[in-house]
Amino acid sequence: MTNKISYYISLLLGIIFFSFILFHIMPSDPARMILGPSADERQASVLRHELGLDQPLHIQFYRYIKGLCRMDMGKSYIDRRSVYEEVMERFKISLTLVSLAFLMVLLYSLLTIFEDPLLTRIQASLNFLFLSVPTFFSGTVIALFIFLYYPYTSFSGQILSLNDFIFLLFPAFVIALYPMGTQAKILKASMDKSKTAAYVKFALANGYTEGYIRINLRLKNSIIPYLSALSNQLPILFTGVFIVEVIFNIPGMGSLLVKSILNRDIPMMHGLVILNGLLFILINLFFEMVYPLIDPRIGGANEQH
Amino acid sequence: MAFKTRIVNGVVLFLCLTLLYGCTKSREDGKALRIGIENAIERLDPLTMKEPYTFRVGWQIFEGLVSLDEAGNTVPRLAEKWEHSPDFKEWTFHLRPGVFFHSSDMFKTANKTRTVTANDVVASMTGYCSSGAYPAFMLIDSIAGADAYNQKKAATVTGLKAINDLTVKITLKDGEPFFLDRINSPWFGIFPREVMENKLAVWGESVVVGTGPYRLKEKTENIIVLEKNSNYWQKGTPKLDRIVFTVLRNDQIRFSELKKGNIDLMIATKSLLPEILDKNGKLSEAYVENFELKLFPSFNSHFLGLNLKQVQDVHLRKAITHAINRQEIVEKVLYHLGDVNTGTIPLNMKNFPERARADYQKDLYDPEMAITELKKSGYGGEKIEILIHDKEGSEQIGEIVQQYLKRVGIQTTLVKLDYSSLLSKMLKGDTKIFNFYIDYVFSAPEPVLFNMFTSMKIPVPNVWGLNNQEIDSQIFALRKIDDRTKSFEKSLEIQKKILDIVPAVFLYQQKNAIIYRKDFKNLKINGYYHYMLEEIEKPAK
Repeated sequence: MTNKISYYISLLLGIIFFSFILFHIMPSDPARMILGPSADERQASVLRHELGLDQPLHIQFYRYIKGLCRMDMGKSYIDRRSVYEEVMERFKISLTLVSLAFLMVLLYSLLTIFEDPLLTRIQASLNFLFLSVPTFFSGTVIALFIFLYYPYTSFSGQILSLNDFIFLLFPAFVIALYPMGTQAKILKASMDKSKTAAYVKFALANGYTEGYIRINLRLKNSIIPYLSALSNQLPILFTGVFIVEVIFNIPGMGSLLVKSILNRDIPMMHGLVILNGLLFILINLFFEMVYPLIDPRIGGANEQH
Repeated sequence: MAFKTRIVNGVVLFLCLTLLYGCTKSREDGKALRIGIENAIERLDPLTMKEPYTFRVGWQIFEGLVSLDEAGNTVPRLAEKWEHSPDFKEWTFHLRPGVFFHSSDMFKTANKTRTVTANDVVASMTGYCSSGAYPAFMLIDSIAGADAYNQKKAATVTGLKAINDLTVKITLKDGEPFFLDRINSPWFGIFPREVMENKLAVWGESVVVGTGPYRLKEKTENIIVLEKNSNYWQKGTPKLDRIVFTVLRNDQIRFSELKKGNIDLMIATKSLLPEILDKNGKLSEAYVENFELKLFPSFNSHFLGLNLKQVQDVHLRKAITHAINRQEIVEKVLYHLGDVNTGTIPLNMKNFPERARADYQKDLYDPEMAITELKKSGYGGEKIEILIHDKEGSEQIGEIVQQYLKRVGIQTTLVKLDYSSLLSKMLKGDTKIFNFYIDYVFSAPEPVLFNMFTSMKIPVPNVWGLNNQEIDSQIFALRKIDDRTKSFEKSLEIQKKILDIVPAVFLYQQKNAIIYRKDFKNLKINGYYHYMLEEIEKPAK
């Protein structure tokens, strides 16, 4: 476990370092961005000095790391707001959206375990639809639909009322579409495969009910590939948020990233990249801790390595 | 079967409940004006605000010493009256007594507010001269000591003095008869001196305090609510209780919200003009019954800049000037919402001589003249790069320009960059021809000429690199003319000489279009694009 944590810490440091280098070799002039096209060059050079942009890159990196240790990611080049506060504020909105989408993915895919013939047929058609429609298309169609016909056409920017919460259900649904299809298919395939397993025949022969076997034996054995796929889908949910936030006018991490890229707001982009990297690491770490709890053989295998 | 029915029932119940909840939402907002804006606003810090959608909000909260009315006159705001020395070097402003800041916890008084004093004006104006302040370029050439303060060579701005609680003296480096035209922009809103003294971290976010007609009530990323400042010094205003700004990025969705009655006012952006306007540039028949269209020109200038170091041949520059059909650009790109201009001084500036207008708006398009000039030039048929950007229809303008230049035999390549990249290439002088626009922050021609064409302003805003000592001295001499009408005429003369050098091909001055519900009256907007919402009213039906 210690090895794993140190591996992830070094990975995070690598993300911070390489993104810092990449963003700083981009041709842009932060002082000019702050002061605009009309400010004269002397004014811009004073500001460059004030921001420490005339310092060598390694000094700038040292100061950035020092700031990070104090949860200070610098200030936006656009309007000098704190990057850390802005990113965290937006993260809360994106996290709400992803949580809702995650819940939808769980609810939809777990319907598979009922193995109702009609439901299975409906789900098979829906899965095909969910997997074949790209997010930008489904997002645009649903956004147009709700803006034209649904009463909830605005999101305040924070979860302040039931209105805000209901508004988020639709973009969450759009983000969830692809993972819903994938997860339901994976769970169905595993459940189907387990039908003919020896332990199922043994349990039936011993008089266990079909319902008991489905939930306690077959589902338990099918859940590992399901969880493994889910751990890959979670980062996709966070990436899916980016495009959906732009379509639905939701001020989360995605819309902030798009705005920062267009304005070349490097501190903001850097903050978002670091947070995104941290999220991926935490998600991986979480699932690596969860697998052995469900199937002790996985923990044992890891220990042997 | 029962399971399936339960699921279907659940979904139907959920949809019905949410629809019912939605239908119970109040659509009536009292005397409120709901404005749809195109983007989330920046921090409401007057020192760093730079985007038009932030100004629309911020300029209701802050106000300066003087301002510009819709007709282009400088009118008193926080300064009740003012006088200047005979040489226009010293300006004394007498503040209006009893003007209160919006209430805030930053004030340690019982009623959480206090009156505006001369020290607040000095602190605010000092802030505007600081190195990180966006509007600093407007003051550091003008106020004595502002340059040294900006360069961190002085602790204060020597030209700013509080004489007593209600009197401020501003001393300038050189006399400027047009100084009021420099500070009448809403960029110079007065804020409490505590902001500068205490360096408030939440300033511009949760704490935004000015003296304007509306105060900030709540602000989230997508919705900003301003409420009436009942302590406002101008009695009887503002006439509305609330202004609600809602961020709706998609043009079609914003327009659909206007039609549905969920917002009352929005800017008619270019993508909506074909739907909103008829072929004569008037409000389309379908919207006449419920909506008003307000057209107004702000102080802007759209042009093709020519880098004088890279395009050295004046005959080639003149050929480009005569080859382009500006009227076609105005018709095709702006749907008639613009005036062809041969110069950069905006037509709607106060004192623009009436007799000069027709000549000023004459399209210089003359293909024969262009061919003649091209023959005189040393142009050998090589491709010239034109940089265009992603804003204000630049790509369409570039295509029209390219097509007209080709007709007279000038070969070009269009290179599209994002706005920031184009700006950085311009600043490095790494361009030949570039499409660009400027929104002027002065209401008189003298500072426009000074900023755009004097050699001390190379590389910015003198982006063409015009370096002509004679023109410099003529522009400086404008400071000696105290008659504003004469000074304007002289400015136009100087501009004519500049145009002979052809540092740019000035194309047009754009008009802005605002569409709003007929329930509202008296919408006033000045040349700075400042919505003076203290005047707007909603008469009872």
